[in-house]
Amino acid sequence: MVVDDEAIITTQMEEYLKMLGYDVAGIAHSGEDAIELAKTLRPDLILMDIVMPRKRIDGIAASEAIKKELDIPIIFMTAYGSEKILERVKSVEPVGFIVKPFQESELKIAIEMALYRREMEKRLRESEEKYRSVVNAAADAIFTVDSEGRVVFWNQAAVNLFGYKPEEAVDQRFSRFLPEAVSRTLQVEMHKVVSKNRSELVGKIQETDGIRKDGNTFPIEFAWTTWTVRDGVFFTIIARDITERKKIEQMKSGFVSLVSHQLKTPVAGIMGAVDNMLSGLTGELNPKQREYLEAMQEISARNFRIINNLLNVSRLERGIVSLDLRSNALGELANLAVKGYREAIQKKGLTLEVDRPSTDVRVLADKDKLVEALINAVDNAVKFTDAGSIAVRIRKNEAFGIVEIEDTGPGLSQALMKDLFRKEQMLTGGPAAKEGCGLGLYIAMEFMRLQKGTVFVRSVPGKGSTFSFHVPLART
Amino acid sequence: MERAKKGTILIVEDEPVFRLIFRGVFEQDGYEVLEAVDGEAGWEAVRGKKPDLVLLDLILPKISGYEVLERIRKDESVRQLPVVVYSIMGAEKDIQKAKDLGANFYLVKGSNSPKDILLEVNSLFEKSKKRKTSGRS
Repeated sequence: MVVDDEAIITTQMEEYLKMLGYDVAGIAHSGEDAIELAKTLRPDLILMDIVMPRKRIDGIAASEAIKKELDIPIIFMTAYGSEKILERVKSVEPVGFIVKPFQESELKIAIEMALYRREMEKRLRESEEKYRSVVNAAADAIFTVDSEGRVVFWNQAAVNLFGYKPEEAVDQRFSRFLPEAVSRTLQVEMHKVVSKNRSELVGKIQETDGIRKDGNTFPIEFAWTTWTVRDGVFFTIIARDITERKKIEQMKSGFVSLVSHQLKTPVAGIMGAVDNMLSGLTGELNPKQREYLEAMQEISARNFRIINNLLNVSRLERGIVSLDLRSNALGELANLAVKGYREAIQKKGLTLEVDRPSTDVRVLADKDKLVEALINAVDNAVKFTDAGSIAVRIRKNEAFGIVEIEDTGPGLSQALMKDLFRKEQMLTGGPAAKEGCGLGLYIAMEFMRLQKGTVFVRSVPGKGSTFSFHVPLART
Repeated sequence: MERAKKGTILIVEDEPVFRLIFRGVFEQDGYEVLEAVDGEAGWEAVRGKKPDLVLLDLILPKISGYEVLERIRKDESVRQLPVVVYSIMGAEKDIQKAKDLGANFYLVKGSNSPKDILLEVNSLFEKSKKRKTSGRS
């Protein structure tokens, strides 16, 4: 459709356009006509003159009116390119602008460009539509925030999860939906992205709580990513409700600890009662009675350890081992591990050497898990060593704190060493199982791995074995 | 000849064998022993019988040991009472929770013997005796 107040121009344009192979759907000579005609004809493109001095509505005003109701691309034609006109032209977002007089070829290029741009826009809109429908159908909450942390996009799952409608969420700071500490860290990381263009946390899945509109919290896991466009840096956060998963995890671990306590309590009761009798509380014991009670004491303690080990294996297999990494004094932990064995070592006539540096080595470890791992090695050392000594040495290298547990026992054959840390050796009656190794070393290795550490073993058959526990140093 | 009692210890414990074990250890060492078999009875005894020290289990019928501990530390008349927790739960987080609630000592069943408990109880008694004397003078 062509709009110009001068008939001579519209006639010439019509000819041009036909020559170039386009259909001219209609011609209007005023802004008013243009608006009416556009509504009835719905052309693919409008070529619009701007200055029509004898008419009430000029080309820009007519375009504004058309744009309000119809989505038709408009190319402006004008002889004057004044600043004021250009400003107004921009506000209508025309797809093209040509200055009169123009050549046939210029017109062709302008039209082709306009139609091409229109097609691209259409495709972009379609692809955006596709993306939007995927994002809205997603079961996970997806929302985008700007570099200030204000929500600019909020999908349907986010509505369901957090209880805010998109219009309520947009422009809110994301910190409203997350616990304070988490959103503060996130903000720091986002600043890093804006200023240094990097953050280690991008793409990492984290667990925290979400805060609903009604103030209730619920467990979520979330990850975030970042993208930069002309308008700035944006962050997209994907969050998933993990209430059900947490419930199941809790049930699992609740069951394990319930069984653990029910199995351990009676054994602990027997141990306490036997302790009392051995300490003479129930009257003097004859040597035979003492021997019996000492056997009971020994076997109860072993029973207690076996229950502990079974429960640890069960936790490892279910993947419900929690980890509480803190800075710990390695020598103290080693002492805790040895503590329960001092008497047994003495009774067997062995000597115990503990070699600790004057300033303790601080490691980043889970106290319970590290002590448990060490106990399993000490337990074996005491069990298998009949003469000589057990030495516990604390040292460190650049990255690790190290506990060495050395015994003068029978040592390990190559065949034994191969399977030492595998639970299968126990379950399939491998050589280590026949020699009486339990699940302890498997647990020790798994616990060390959880703490980003490991266990090494050196052994000379007939001379003894050394287990070295490596655990990362605490950063000071 | 009846010796003067060192003090009164309340054992809050649902498992009979542990009550037997601790009654034995404490009485032999000169303490008077009171018993409660669940959390509620424990809390009643704390307020009604004013023991000098409580040996508290955590997993208990009616109300838990944590709850009893919390009530003790919130009640003006008994908040100074020394409490030794003795539980089958030995994880660091259980220990920390009890200490945060105000337990003076935490010992683990099966890992700490009755003798260990007696040592801690004696040292707590010494400390609270000193505090009382210095408070009076």
